[in-house]
Amino acid sequence: MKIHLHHIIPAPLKEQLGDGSVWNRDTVFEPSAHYLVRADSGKGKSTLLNILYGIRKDYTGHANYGNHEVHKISDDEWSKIRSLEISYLFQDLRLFPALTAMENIQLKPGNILYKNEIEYYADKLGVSNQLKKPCSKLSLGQQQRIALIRALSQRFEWLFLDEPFSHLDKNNAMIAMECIMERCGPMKAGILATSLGDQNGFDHFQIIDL
Amino acid sequence: MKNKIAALLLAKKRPLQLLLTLTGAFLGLLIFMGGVQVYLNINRLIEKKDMLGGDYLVVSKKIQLVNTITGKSPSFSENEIQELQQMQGMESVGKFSVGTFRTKIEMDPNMAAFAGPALKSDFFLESVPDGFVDIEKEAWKWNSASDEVPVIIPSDYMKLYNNAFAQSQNLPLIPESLIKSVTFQLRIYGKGKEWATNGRIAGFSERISTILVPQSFMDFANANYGNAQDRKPSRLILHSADPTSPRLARDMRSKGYELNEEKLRSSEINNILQIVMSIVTGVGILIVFLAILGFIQYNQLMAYRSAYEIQTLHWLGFRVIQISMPYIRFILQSVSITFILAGIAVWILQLVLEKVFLSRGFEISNPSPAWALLAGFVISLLMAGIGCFSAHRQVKQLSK
Repeated sequence: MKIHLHHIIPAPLKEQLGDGSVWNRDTVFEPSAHYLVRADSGKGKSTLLNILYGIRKDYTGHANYGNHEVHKISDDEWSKIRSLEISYLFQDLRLFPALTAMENIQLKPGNILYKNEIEYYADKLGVSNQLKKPCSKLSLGQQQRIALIRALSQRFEWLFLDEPFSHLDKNNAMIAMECIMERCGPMKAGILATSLGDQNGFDHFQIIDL
Repeated sequence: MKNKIAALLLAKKRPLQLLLTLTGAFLGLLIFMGGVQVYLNINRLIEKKDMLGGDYLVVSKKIQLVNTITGKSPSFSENEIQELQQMQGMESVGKFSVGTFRTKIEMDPNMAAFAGPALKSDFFLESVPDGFVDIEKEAWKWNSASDEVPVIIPSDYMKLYNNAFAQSQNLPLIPESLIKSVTFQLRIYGKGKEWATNGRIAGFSERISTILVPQSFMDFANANYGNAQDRKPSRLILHSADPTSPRLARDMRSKGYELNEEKLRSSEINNILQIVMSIVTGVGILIVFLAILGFIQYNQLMAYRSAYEIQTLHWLGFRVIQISMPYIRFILQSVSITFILAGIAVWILQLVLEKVFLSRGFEISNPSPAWALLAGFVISLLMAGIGCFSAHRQVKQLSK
């Protein structure tokens, strides 16, 4: 599904719009393409993803997902989209601390990974020993990898990654990108990722400055 | 997976707070249903007791020494009757007809075996126009082809028998429902003839200290066995819009008439009792509504404490109804348990009440607490409905 932004201005950023190519411009994110949105803190990277994910409605302009204006999509419609079409790795991860890593992944609506597939990705990412532990007992880096596996566990046309490697070292970031590509490839999914400037691991991504 | 979500969302319930909230709801429901129950019991007692409706008065003239000497009972003339009819608030005036024949009553042999041989006695009969008798038309009719005469007796007779006579003579107590099913023989003598027919007690009256038969029976018996010509009535029955008004009592007294005031007072007490029970029921409703408010707040607090979980679940792709379902299920369970416990308590209350009433000589005709339970069920349904609705709305808000 094509994503089309038309003169979007988020309410909190009204006063300090930079000269980037997204805010108050016409921008299109084509299906199956990979984008890296790059900007310093506070420029609205998460805001952009949240608007497109339907959880922020304080903006002017038009944001279209396919033919639909995103703020007009109903709650139930969003639930369907979020479990089948758009998967989101939140910056604050949004895990349930009381549940184990495995339970957190399996709880995801639309999850289509078998247990052994989950274990395969956990093994690749070096967190297979953590699957049975409650998330509250895991380090931030481990939590980020669990949240990534959860984001990859469903079917999707778009993958939103909000600073996906912020708690990972370079090596783990590389492995994480391999896993992402392994899942996105067959589904021909598009990726919309954000990062604080550095392009580590996002080699072939189309770079967009906010 | 469903259980996982429920566990996540309901993890933050505080058992003590929940217990306190539900105790409030339980007490409210109990007081409400108990109030309804007692109210209905009293209502049934009153309704059942008096076959003459609540607004009837009986008026007679004071007996004076001169009447004793002349042997004439004080009676009402047509003029006096007209005067009464024109009084303010008076709706109708009826004459008592007195049987001018001798009457004997004999217990049915079956009944005699049960109650002893004592019940064989001289009686007298009276009647009032049928419109004054508050009883089903079918049960209060007689014609020459009927094989039974319905009679209404003063409820004092029953009380006298049950409270004093039966106990002193070691005879069994007879509840009203039983005595209504018993027939007895009515023997009538006059004009040198004798005639027997069956009688059946159709009801009781607090208001009139006499034995009433249908007007048609009285006319027939007086014509065939009576020994006097058309007699003037010594007592009248009045239907007044406000029988308890002090003005009416004053007017009557000034004319030298006697009213059956004491009997009226007891019906006033009944009225007050009904008002008191309505207030109790009202307080019950108030407590229930406070409890509903408390319950809603409890649920809202519980949801607030899980605001992160609710929002995250929705962001992950759960539908709002899927997230509010554990709350709805929890509310339905809590309300059901509360209702069931309160229902059991009311049922026990009814059993106790029945004993208390019976020991005082009242019999409750229909002791089932079904109506109170139904009323409690409706309130519980309301409570559950409001609770579920507010919980769902809260979840919807928090999931944004």
